[in-house]
Amino acid sequence: MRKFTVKILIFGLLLLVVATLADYALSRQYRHTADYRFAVWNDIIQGGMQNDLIVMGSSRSWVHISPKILDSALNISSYNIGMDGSCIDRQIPRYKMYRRRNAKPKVIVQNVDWNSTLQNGPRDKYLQSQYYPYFFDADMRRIAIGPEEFSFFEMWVPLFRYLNHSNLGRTLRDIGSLSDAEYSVEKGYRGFDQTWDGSNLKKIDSIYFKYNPSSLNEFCSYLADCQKDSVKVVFVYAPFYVEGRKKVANLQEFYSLFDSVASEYDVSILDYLENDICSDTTFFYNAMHLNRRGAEKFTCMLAHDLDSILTGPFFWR
Amino acid sequence: MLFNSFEFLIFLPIVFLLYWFVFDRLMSKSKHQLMLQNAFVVVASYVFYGWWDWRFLVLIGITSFCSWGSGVLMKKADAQEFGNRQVEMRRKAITAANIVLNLSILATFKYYDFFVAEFARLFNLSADGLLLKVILPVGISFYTFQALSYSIDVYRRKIEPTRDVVAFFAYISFFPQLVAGPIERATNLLPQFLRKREFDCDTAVDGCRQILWGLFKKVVVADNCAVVANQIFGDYANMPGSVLLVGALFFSFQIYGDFSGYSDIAIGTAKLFGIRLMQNFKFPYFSRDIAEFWRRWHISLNTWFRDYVYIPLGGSRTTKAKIVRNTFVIFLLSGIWHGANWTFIAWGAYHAVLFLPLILLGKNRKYTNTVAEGRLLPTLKESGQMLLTFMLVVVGWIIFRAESIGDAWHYILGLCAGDVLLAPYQFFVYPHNLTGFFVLVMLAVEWLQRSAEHGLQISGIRFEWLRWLIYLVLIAAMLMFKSFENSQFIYFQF
Repeated sequence: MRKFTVKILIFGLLLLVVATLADYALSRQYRHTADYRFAVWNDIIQGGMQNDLIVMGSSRSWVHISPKILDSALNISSYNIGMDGSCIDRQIPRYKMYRRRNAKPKVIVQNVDWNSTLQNGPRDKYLQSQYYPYFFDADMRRIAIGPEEFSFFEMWVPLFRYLNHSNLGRTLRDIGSLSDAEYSVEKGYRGFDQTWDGSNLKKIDSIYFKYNPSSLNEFCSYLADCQKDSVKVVFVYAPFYVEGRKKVANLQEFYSLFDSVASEYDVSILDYLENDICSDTTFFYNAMHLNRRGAEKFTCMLAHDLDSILTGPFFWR
Repeated sequence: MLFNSFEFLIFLPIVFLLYWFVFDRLMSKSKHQLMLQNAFVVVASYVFYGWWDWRFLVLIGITSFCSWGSGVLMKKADAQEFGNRQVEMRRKAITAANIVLNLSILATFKYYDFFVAEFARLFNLSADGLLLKVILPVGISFYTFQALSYSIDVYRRKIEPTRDVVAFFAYISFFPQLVAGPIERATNLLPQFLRKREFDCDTAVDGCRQILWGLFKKVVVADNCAVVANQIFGDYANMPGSVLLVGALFFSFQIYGDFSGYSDIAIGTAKLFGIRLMQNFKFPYFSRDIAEFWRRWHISLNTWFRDYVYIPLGGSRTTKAKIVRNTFVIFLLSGIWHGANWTFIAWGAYHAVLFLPLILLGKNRKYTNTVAEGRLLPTLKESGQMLLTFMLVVVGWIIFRAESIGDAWHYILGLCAGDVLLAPYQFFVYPHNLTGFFVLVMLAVEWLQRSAEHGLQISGIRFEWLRWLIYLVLIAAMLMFKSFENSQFIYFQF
């Protein structure tokens, strides 16, 4: 019995070592791809960035606001940490991680939305794989990787998270296929060249979106922290195709809420919901998202407006 | 709980440690040690089964209790001072009652809806209000047959009825083989629960190897073959003959990898607990005729039908007409045992037709040894025989896998089309070609090991590091190529 137990333990230990090494190697490989899921995390974790302005929000920040245009228009350094498919329950941990490893920004351009700021349920598992390569980073585990979206085994058993929804063969192929041009981001921004596709919009009748009140508390506490930290926050109501807007039954309720939150925490608002760009489908690839052409036009407008509300070049010094 | 799940990976070591260290070592001086250890087996088995659906534990409990009770009652009848004839009548009545009860449960859950629907269809009636629409309890056919074998063996006085209810419950519910066999005989398994088990390191190590080989067959071969087979069977009408052939071949390896893989894991797991289960597969795709195939495929079920149906009907030592009848009876029963669908019945009939000429000509026991024994490669004749037998079996699997008899027929017609000779290019691409490679690996390993009990019986390899390397390669293959689309074992549905 002892002989058997010792053999099994040694073999188990060997497997654990091999699994840990494989996990480490895979995570390292992923971190070295240019894929948008990891590029921003890599920059944040590597640390040392000294940006004057950061852009926060969901995909409507990620694909809408080009830091390169902001940099050249405002003569500053900016970075977009917008995260596809996220609400503030993911965005705030990313910002906290940013703050832990990088210099404090002067301004946060916070895109706020009816469906991607305040969440209506627990943290979802969309793009869960973006966290996979960072399980070896203690700060990431503590701040950004939510135990609510990973099981105990995924959190603590090496390799398990890579195998739970895939296999190693597919994971390696995935790593190999992440070529630079196709998946890369530019200071966190990713422009999409697609043209308008309204097919999904046609399928939608009417939407009524509910939010979880606790997420509003979380959002307010983040704004209070920014205020305490002397970080200026600017809310952006990014362009939303006019026909799509009509389908959200309680849209106004959200923007009224954001208006009142903004006044409470001394937040400026830049509202583009009524801008001409919103009625021109050539600037969008779907009702919620601008294509590259629309995003670049929008970023220019945003840069101009930021410049005026942030009192010109003196603000940045 | 599935054998190929992470839950089982946690469950098995815990149960193993408690079984040997708490219920064997720590309690070694207790006079109830064996009873407690068996009770632990029952609890662990019920947790294992209840993980899927705890409500159906009641059925296992009823089946176990009634079958145990029938044994006790038969013993009582023996002890009473009746005349011989009266004793036999009582014993027969008790056995019959237990068989009827168990088969009624099985029929209700497995066949009732099918027969009601077919009856209604025959007479153009609506069956809506009559259908039970209950889900099929996992493994019901397996443990029911196991319980019946006890009852019949006690009736035949092949085994002494046991008064030890805990050991009996352990015999019916022993978790490694509870949901998909092997269907054990009381004569083999029950006595093992009535005596103290001894831990044997070599047996346990061999058990681990068998588990590993079973997992490889299931996770790497069967699940990946399933992806291809499902795709082709799901859209067979639009596929050329060559692709249909690929689909049929992949399904043949899927069902073999799946079921024999399960059996290997079950037998290997049982070895860890000092229990020997019967061999369920003996490399059936290396058979030289259909009779040999049936001696090597799902052995526990086929010998069950042989011992409890075929031989009581007269077996092959009777008139030719009766041999034909008996052969059809066991094959049709074997077909319907797999499920309430005409395709299973047709599959049974198809094999009966293939088997009959051999038994009528007295050639059904021509090949009882291992093919190419003592040689590395088979002769040309043996290769031809194996290929022909395999292709006949593959046709049977098409009938078995198809949704209906009509689908099976059209699939087979598609195979007969001229385009069967064209190369199925779309299945030479990654990852299907890799699946084909793993099928070849499985066949090669099993060919080399065809005289052994399982594919990974490698204690003969002198260097331990080499054995460990083989284990690591198999584990790596599982992690690299596991399919995430199919993880359920096919035979759970039977």
